Amino acid sequence: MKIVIGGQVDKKEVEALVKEHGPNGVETSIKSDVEAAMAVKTGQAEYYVGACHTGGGGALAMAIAIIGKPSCETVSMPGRKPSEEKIQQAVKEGKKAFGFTADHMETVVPMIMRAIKAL
Amino acid sequence: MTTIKERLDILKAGDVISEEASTIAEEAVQRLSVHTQRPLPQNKVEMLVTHLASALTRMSRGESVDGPPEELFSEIEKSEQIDLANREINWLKSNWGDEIPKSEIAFLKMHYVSIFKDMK
Repeated sequence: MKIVIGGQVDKKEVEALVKEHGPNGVETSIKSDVEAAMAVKTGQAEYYVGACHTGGGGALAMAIAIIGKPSCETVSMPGRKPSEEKIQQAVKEGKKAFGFTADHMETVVPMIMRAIKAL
Repeated sequence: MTTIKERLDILKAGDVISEEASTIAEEAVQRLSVHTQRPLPQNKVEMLVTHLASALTRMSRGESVDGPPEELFSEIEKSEQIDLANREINWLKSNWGDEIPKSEIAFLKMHYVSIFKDMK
């Protein structure tokens, strides 16, 4: 399985968490938000994860524009902590791109990876 | 690498941002170029323009976000670059038709201070 790291900040840290918590044999790649979204759109990667500092769009804006809103899920924002239940539901519904604020990444990435592994 | 205009065009085509927000965000970047002879920190400018256009669109659609944590906001207010950041935000306030909420201004200050630190 290929997972691309887009978003705007802390990409190496997010990648390390994906490698640590992702499915066996997960392949990761750090890209710009545009390239990462294109990789999912063209089928070169199964999932997109991305962080920004402010939660105001940078993590997922490009993925929403390129892949489409129905395939994207904002899993955390300032003042809105992630919910494992909602993440599981989003993955089950077939969502492909996940955006979050960087300060939540250590909680969020394992949640997303658990949900993907449970499919 | 995508240019600022290409970035805004992709966001507009995907209906993530509005035409008005795109125009203001592009002008905001052009203003930054006028104030320096040095190359702008491209990565941070991309972050600002994506955030700014998304934030303005969010406001026009009646959506809201909470502001950054108080400690972080206090640190930004004490930074050397806060006057420059406020100058740009005052320009935004005068050029955007509606009021900009405090929580959004706090995030914009973060982005501007970060860019001006790199331009020092």
